[in-house]
Amino acid sequence: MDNDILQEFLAESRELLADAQGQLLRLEASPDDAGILGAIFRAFHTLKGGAGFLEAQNMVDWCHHLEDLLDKLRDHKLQADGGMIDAILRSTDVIERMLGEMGQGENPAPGPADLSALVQAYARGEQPATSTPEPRAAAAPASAPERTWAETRPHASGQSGVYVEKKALAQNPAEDDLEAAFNRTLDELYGQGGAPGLEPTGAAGRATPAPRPAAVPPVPNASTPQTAEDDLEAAFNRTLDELYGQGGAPGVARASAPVPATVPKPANKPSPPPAAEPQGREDTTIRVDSARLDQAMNQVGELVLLRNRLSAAVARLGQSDETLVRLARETDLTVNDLQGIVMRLRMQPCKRLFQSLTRVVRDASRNLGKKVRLEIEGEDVEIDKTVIDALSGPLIHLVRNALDHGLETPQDRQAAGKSEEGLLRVAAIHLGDKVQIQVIDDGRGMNPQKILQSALSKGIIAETEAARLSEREMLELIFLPGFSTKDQVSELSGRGVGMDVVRSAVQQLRGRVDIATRPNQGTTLTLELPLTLAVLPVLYFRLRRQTYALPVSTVDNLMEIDPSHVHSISGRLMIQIGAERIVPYIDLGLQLQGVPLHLGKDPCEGILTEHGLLVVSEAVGTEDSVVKPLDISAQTSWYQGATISGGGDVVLILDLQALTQAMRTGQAA
Amino acid sequence: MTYDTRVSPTELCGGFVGVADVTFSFQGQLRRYLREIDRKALNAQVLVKRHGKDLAGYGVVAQSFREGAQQLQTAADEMQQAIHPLMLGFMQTLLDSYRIDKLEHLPETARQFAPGLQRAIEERQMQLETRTEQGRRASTRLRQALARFESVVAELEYVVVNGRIEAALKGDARAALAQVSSDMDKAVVQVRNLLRTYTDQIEKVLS
Repeated sequence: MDNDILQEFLAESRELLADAQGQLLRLEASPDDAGILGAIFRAFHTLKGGAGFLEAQNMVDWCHHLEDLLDKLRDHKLQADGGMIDAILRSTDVIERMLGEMGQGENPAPGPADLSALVQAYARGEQPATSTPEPRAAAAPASAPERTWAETRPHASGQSGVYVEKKALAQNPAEDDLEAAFNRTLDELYGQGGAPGLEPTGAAGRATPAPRPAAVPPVPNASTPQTAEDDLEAAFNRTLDELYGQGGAPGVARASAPVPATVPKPANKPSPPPAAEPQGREDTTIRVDSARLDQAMNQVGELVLLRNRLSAAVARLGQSDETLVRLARETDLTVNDLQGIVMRLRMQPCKRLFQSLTRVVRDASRNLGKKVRLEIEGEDVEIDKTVIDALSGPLIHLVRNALDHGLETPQDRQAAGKSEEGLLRVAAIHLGDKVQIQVIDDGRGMNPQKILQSALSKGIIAETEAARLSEREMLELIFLPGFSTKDQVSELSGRGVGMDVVRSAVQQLRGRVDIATRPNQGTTLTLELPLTLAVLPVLYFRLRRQTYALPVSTVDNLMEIDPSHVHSISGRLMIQIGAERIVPYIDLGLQLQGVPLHLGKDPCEGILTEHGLLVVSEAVGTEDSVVKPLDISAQTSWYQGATISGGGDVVLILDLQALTQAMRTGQAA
Repeated sequence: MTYDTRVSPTELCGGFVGVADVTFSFQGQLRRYLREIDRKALNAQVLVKRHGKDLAGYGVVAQSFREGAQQLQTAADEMQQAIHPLMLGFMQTLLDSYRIDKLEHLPETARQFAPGLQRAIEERQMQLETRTEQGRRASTRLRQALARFESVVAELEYVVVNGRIEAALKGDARAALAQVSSDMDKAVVQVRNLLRTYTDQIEKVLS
């Protein structure tokens, strides 16, 4: 199989599936919405067609059952309820798994038989007792009479096996009767008694099957249902499959994998009703391998470095050649524009990041027995693809944590004077060259003392260390590996794995996590992330003769240092900033070079950051830099990388968080 | 200042020391203030970088701040260069004045044994006049340098006003930008006041 076609199919299928999942969640609120039903149907239909083209028979079968069900919902023969939507959503998870297997170069294994049976039961119009979340795992309809079925199915290993399972009997006993079922299909297709070759009145019960048209091959899962359903035999085979399982009807030989020779590539497959699909989308968009975008961005990064060097070289010449100065400025502007354009190529809306949350909240709140209203804001805010890809897991973790730890049960909320329904708000806010992603709940809030006690009991920190912690530092204990306040491990949390992973993921993206919490009012977790990782604006500073860089995102202010404002508190140097603020005094001369800078003797300047006032020899200037990874030794971990300055020098970029952490543990110079 | 022989070397010395003191103090303070302006300009640039494209307009202002700070530094260097010949002229004039004074106050007995003394005094006097002329030119250059410095300060004040307008137009970052503009304003006003004081003191000595 052509790998390009497979990759294209996988990418498009994942998009389709994500859209379908979103539509399914909307369907819960509007079960009769024809637009939504049509969109979901088309998604499964297209998935089936593409899977057929790629000879993924199990996926074809799986989508076929879903398509059947959706077809009936679309025709208002059935109505969607919570249990049915739940089953379809779980079926989409199976398709996702199948796509994953296809991505690994494997032929997807069949889906779980119980879920398949459940979907088929729904399609037959049965009402299995699975509409509440608790017994969701029991897929077989509880109320319907059951019969043991045996069938041969291919196993994930590729070998065939005999599967025995309990399956519900059809509600209508007449469906056991092949002829009756066939007649029912004829009636569905042509109206009561209107099938060709049948007597117009009273003939339905007595009608004999129409002769098979010789020209039409027996392809029950053809990817073009309109054509297939026109075909009497195809419809008949479909009915047989519904009744006996795929190829299981008595007297029917198991059909070979249906590979429609004329199925077009899934990308261009026309969906039956056009509905709300934007026309001409193909004309304005193009799918490009993200590796190519990375290459383009890397090249722009190199161009930015060259631009910096050119600007510095021209500045050294002074105003002696105005033409050269003008050229350098124009180059500067053009490179800036190019950088912006290429950066935007990698930008994706946060919608992609948020789309799974509705389902997560729906499922988790059901499991926890909580009522939750999810509000999502800022879906249009765009952020670098790398950030979106890396943040998906951490964000789901934060949402689950908020549901599990933050929001209370309806009873507890009522007892606390709140509404039964908890509010969970996930918002993306664009702030200059940063994006903030907030997860806000109106739950019980965090208790710093409880967190501290939990950390102590788990031996995460020592008692001597605990005595010195401020409230904020107590809250930040949740980011330590192994921390959990949950006494019992649940499906959602309590294993002490997660928040440390969230923070390290955010830090790897050059971002940070903040907590704001108020007892009984809720918690806000804010992830602050750079808009792009491609270019890092830095502030160059000098320590004696050596130049270093610091990301400007960490700089609050540059200031002169007044020696009379420096105090020693418990052996730690602090400096008073303004009237009320006292921050740590961090002598970078001492920390990075092992020799302190002496105020009054050495030239000294202060760079105020959230970690304290950094004492340096001189702040030199700002520049857009491109971070080159460092691979020297573990001891240099307080540098996040290196860059090449406009002067052509290799400059180390300080990782302030790592440095201050190293200072706390006494590792720094 | 005119290097008139009528001015006694003591008076001349007082003037020279006065200028030297004022200049030394001015240079020290100016260095600090220029660094302050450059730091404020850098602060503005950091702020702009932190806010990305949203503050692109203010980025131009921040860049102008830094360029203005560099121009001030250049103007200060020019002033420095203008002061050096003046100070050199002062010292040489002082030396010549001392010598003339000494020759003129030689006892009559000694003068009888030195027939070329009068000629020497005349030559010294001519040298002193030449130095006076050089000093006049040096003070003109210093005044020009001071005026140039003043005009750079005025340009920077104009940039500061622009910055304040630009800051007022920016939504969310208005407060931060207004603070940066205000800091910049204060730093420029400090330099302007320092310059005025220095100019007044120099004028007093030169006039």
